[in-house]
Amino acid sequence: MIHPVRAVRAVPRRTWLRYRFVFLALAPIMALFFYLRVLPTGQAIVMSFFKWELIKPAEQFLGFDNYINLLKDENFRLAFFNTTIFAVATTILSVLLALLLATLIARLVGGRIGAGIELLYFAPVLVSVVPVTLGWREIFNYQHGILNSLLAGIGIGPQPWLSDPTMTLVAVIILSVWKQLGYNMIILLVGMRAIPRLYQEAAAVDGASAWQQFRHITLPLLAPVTLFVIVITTISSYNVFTQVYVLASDVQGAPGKLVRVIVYDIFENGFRFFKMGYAAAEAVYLFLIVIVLTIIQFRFLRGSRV
Amino acid sequence: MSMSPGWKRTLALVAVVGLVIGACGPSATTAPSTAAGPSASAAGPGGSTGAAPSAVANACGDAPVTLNVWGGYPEMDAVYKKAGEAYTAKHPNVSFTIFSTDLRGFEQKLTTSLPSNTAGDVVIRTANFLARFIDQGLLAPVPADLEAFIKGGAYSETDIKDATYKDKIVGVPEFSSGTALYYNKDFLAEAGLSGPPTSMDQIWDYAKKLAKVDGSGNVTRSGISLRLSGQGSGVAEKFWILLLQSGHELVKETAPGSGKYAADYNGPDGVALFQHYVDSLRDKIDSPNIDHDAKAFETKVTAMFAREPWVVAEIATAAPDLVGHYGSISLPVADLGATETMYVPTSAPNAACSWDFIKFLTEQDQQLLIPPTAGWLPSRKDLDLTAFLAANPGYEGFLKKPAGLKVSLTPPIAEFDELETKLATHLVDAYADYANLAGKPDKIQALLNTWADETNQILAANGHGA
Amino acid sequence: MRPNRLVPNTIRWIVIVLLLIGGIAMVFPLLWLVSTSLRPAPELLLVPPRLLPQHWTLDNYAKAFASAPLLLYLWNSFVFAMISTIFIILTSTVAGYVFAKFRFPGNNFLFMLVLATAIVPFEIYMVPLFLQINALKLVNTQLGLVLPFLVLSYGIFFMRQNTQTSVPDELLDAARIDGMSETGIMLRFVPRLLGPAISALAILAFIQAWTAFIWPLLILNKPTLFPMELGLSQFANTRVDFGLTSAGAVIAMLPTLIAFLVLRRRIVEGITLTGLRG
Repeated sequence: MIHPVRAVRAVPRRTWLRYRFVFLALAPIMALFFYLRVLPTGQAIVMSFFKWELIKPAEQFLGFDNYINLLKDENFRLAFFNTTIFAVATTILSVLLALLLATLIARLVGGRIGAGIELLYFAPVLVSVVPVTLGWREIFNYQHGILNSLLAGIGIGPQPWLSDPTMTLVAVIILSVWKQLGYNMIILLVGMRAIPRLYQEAAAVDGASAWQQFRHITLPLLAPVTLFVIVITTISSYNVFTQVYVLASDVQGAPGKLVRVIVYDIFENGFRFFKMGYAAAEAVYLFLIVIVLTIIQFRFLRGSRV
Repeated sequence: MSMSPGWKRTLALVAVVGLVIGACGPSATTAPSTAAGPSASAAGPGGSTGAAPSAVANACGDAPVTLNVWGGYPEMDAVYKKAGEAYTAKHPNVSFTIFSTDLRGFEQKLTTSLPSNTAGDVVIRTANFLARFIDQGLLAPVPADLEAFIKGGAYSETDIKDATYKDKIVGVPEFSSGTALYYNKDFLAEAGLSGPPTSMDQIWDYAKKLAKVDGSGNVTRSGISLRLSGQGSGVAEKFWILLLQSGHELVKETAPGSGKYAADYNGPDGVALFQHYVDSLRDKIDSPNIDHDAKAFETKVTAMFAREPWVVAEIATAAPDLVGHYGSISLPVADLGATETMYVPTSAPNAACSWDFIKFLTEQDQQLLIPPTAGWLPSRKDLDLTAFLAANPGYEGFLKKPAGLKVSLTPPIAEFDELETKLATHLVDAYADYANLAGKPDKIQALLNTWADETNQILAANGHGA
Repeated sequence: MRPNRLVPNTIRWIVIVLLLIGGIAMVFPLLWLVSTSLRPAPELLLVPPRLLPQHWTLDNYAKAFASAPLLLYLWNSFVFAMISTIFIILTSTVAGYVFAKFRFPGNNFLFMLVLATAIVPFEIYMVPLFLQINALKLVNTQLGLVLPFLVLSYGIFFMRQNTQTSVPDELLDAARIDGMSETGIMLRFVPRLLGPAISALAILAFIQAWTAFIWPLLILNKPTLFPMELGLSQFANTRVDFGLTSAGAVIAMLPTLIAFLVLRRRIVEGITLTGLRG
């Protein structure tokens, strides 16, 4: 309803109303968010410039010392290297496989069988990380793990999954893709099913093949959700910790080789050595790396607006 | 189809109600404070300086009190629970909650709760870990009568030393640990070895004879299961334990009482020990690809390994067919001790009651509960464990020690964890590189020297450099 | 999105078989866990390991229920997860919608801020967060436990992306022209279009709260308030009792499985508002 008088206002009323609406809707949420996430994170970042020993207030201002020392730290460099390889591999594998799965289930299988398959692939997401990682330790066992038995069945010698540095990284990647796959698949399925059938039907009428439909309609329209999946997989891969910790702990017998990742290094510096300021600086580096990657991913996969 | 507006509103209502209930719900850990009862002064309830302190009747007052006992070893829960029940029988107004979780979680919990005064009433951990907290005044000093009792002969010198920080006794020992060599009797007999090894040389010799290799050159049974990988400081700790047998430490105090330390592992004995490790890998006495540690011993893929007493309890439940076919023997020259000691946080509201319960835990009956219930060994040395040992011969290596066995402790320096962990990382990498290091003592010496430099740097950075 | 009937049936069945094989491989570790939970202690270390136990036993489950008030822990977890899920859905849907469909100064900045905080590992900000909550005297309370779980950065991000995909501007304009208030659109109209996404977010938020461990460990002291994961760690000495831990893991997994099955229908149902999609 356009009221003639109001339409002549200097500040467009609609804009002002819009801003007010946005404010009222967002303010409480952002307030919560600020208190629960931004504030404590900000404090931790401030602490990265101090010598903070966690159980007493920080005393010594160090400027950029923590940051400089980190760059010289062997452990940090190794952690950065391991984590990056891990994140790249896990993201590529789990997103591509999830895309494949979602497409097959949504377009090809469907129905009850599709539902059953979804459940099978989603099941790993439901279980708690610690016990299932201990179970995977058995699967990766050199002498009697099932993985090596299977490999023997096809003529490949046993692999030192948990003792060789490279193989342990591979093992952690396998474990993480396994856990992440179903999560990504469900999200992509939601996205795929949200695409109005109308568009595909129109394309089919125009003579487009299944593949063409997929490539030119489904994929572009799926882009925002695909972006989401890539970004969160990248973020959670950079944050990998528990699996690595459990695989290398001496609970339940012999520990496997430790794959030094960034969050493990942060945990060790902060909670073992009580060098919390140092650990906070490490977290800032982690943050910078991931935010850069995220921005790149956003640029690359700008969602197409319908 | 999808959510109707009415449903959404109901959900929101439920959520808000839930939050309100949560906010009004049970709050802080602190139990209702005792009106009566002695104040939480260092003096504590007056007691005699006799051998066994008695629990004073009114230390916990008459009002209901709940004591939260925090420990880092879940298997000890049953011990604290039983002790709690016995204590409640004498003091009906006192109830207990036992809280424990794995060590990593426990240490994180202490790190957040002690400085914020939200910790439990009784905390059990090592003096070493808690040193920082003691420096901050977050743990209450031990009452005089308990201190006198500890020094009164019921505990070994080592336990007293381990409970001492900056020349003061800071905690009350509860249970102690050590390391012994577990060996499989059947394998020894099969190799024609008459008894367990009693010297380091014998241990290495036995290992060579006990290892088994299959046709393709894979180790199917390791002669001795060495700690070759893992996170944290474990790898360095196991190296240290073997290093002790030649009279060296990871870091040694340069002059007794000086508070200055220097790396002690890069001398000829350290090099020789490291050589044993990599030579064992080269000579297929042990292998990175085989199982290790307790699991390996229980599944019979290793003949010997060194570990703490809890393995005995594990074998009894998880590998009962091994019972009677294995034994444990003390390490020949020295051992690494560790004592879990009991503390009361300064912020605990019923400190006197807490100390009284701690006192109760030091009584003979309570100490004797520990081995059969949790598989650890009690700290008190004046107990009669002969019946226990007869029923559980697996503990022999822990209870029968050669005369003159030297027990080493973790040095009371805050940075020890860091230097031990960093050394562990180096060791893991070096063991993996055994092919290039076996039989090359010069290379090994150079490597150890670089590590020792780092160790000394860490010491210097914390004011303990020589 | 209906399955494409243009593809020959044989190919469809081949794909199904392959997917099923893959699916079995996916659940194998879980089957292993279940199998472990049904074994007596001496069978935990069999060499070579057997998939099925020789002596089936429910001892581990009996022990689990006997040594800890598991039903109480399950209830605590349930309340905690429900409150968290509801709030996360509410905050994420509203914020996601606003970020996706409204232009205002600071939109991008705030959204990037939201995303940024998702990157920082919890271990880094958990200590300052704990001290903040302690200052509010909320340590060892249900409110203190659930507070950090009321918002989810991923959730806001997720709903924003889904809003971009599933809520065309034309529809919103149509609704406005029809006289709907902005609030009405936000709280009634848009969520109807986002049913599957909301259900997917619900299951993910539920799982996150259900499997939370570190925060409950730090904030709670009184065992009567413990949720499942924390309660399990109290008695399960993973060193000796892997059978017991496995039983606990299976018990913990069942409710989330049920929740997924319940919500799955919602996740599957696509948009059938053919009228509006003209």
